[in-house]
Amino acid sequence: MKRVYFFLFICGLTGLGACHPGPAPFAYGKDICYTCKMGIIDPKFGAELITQKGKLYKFDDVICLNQYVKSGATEEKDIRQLVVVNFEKENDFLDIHTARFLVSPDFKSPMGSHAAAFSTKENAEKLNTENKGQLLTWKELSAKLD
Amino acid sequence: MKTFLTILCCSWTLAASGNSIIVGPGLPVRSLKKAIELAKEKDTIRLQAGLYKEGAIILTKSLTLIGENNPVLDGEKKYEILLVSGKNITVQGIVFRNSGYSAMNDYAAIKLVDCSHVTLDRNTILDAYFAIHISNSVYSIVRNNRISGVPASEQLTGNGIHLWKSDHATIENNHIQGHRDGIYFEFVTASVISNNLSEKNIRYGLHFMFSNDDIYRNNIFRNNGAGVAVMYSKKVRMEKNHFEENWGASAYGILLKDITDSYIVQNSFLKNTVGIHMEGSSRIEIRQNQFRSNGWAIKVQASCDDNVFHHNNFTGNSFDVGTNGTLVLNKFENNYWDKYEGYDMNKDGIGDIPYHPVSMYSMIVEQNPTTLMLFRSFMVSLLDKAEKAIPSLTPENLFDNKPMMKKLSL
Repeated sequence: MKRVYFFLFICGLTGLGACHPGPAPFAYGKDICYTCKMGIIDPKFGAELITQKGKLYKFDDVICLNQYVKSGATEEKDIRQLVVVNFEKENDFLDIHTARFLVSPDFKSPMGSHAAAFSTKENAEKLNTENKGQLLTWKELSAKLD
Repeated sequence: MKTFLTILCCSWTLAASGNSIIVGPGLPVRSLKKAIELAKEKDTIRLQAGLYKEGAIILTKSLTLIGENNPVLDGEKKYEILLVSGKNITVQGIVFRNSGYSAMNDYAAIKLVDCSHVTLDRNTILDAYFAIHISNSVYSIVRNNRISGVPASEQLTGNGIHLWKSDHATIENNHIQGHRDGIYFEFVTASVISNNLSEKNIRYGLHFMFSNDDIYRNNIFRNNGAGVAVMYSKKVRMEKNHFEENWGASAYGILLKDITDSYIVQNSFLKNTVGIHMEGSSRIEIRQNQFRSNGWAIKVQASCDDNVFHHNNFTGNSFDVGTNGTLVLNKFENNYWDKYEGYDMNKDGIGDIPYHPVSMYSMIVEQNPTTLMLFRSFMVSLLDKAEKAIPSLTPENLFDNKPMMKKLSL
């Protein structure tokens, strides 16, 4: 009997371990950006990097995330997921590779990337009223931010 | 003939200084918008006490706008109250309240765009998103204003005094509280910030980004969410300021990031989690400062070089200096450290053995913050003593070779 309990206990532990790590909401005014060390306060911008082991890095602007990824401090194979804050919804995270970015001087992001993330191309275009902005994917934006 | 000349003279002087338009409830001119429309260059508008709800007011003429007995301009939470664009304009003695909020634009109670020589004096700004927002302007003066935000709506508050792409600005004698950043500078050069009190702001009391050749002196930054941040700037002089009571996991008296060729002189750092946190900073002279009752007086990351710390007083700090590497390219000299246990045989006021301000425990805490739980335990004291005798973890060449025996009078 004891053995069964022990077995269940171990199962429980593994169960905990298998818990899927994902993006965590920002604690505005408390969290700081891993790259620039600024307090994160603007709910319209921000990004997170989640490692394979479940460690979370928070950034106030995609420019800081880009800098961190390029620095190689976390190896590419150790990155589980990159997410970015939905410009239109607080604490809603979009996968960086499916998100569409609108880069426009209208967006006053904390570190000057001027990039806002949207769930769809259409949503992004709605805010590109005067056609000042540039619609990009993460791959294009990341190359541009260097 | 004489009388005629006198009259001529008088009227000429009057014409030069402009006419006065009086605005108030029950007077011929009741609205400020109307008065601005009627006014000619160099006129003075005297706004009498009363409540004015006029939506967005635009001022582009060279006028002097004076509020008498605290008239109130109310933005009804919808409008940007006063937009100023022009030169030689003064706005004085007016209460601005309830300016609007917009997710896309930085709405402000007073916004200055493309201005030169504009003065904002003795105004009161309550419950604004951004209080004073200045961009692309030169020779702006912001003085004696009282600015108070709504701390309840956390991230939806803007900055108190916000400057962007401006130069030769003077910010003095203002009291700012309850905003995101009390004073915010981005791309602002050759400007002076003095005698301000910035407190209880959500993030920083003062936030500097990409702003070179600026001076801030005699300011008090107290009890702000994260203290003061000075980032990505060159040639900044920080003198005689008080950094007080900035407590929190990521709060600093000053956070210096990528700062070069600057001076930090005669400031006092009192009761902060970290007095000065430095990252990627070079060639900074830090002298005659008081570091009292801080968690860490100074945290120097290994990415800093050529900084000199001399003639400072370190008293009652839990840790004097913290660092994250063993390579040290900064210099400490002639400081007073209350934890110094050395002696002075030749009585020249300078200790005969060097002082190592980095304790082993602070190195451990840097790598594993949770170990702070063991602070002041017997084992930790024992380890610290052992480390002093035989250094292994602490950076060997981080020391003050000439520690002062007596506290410096600063």
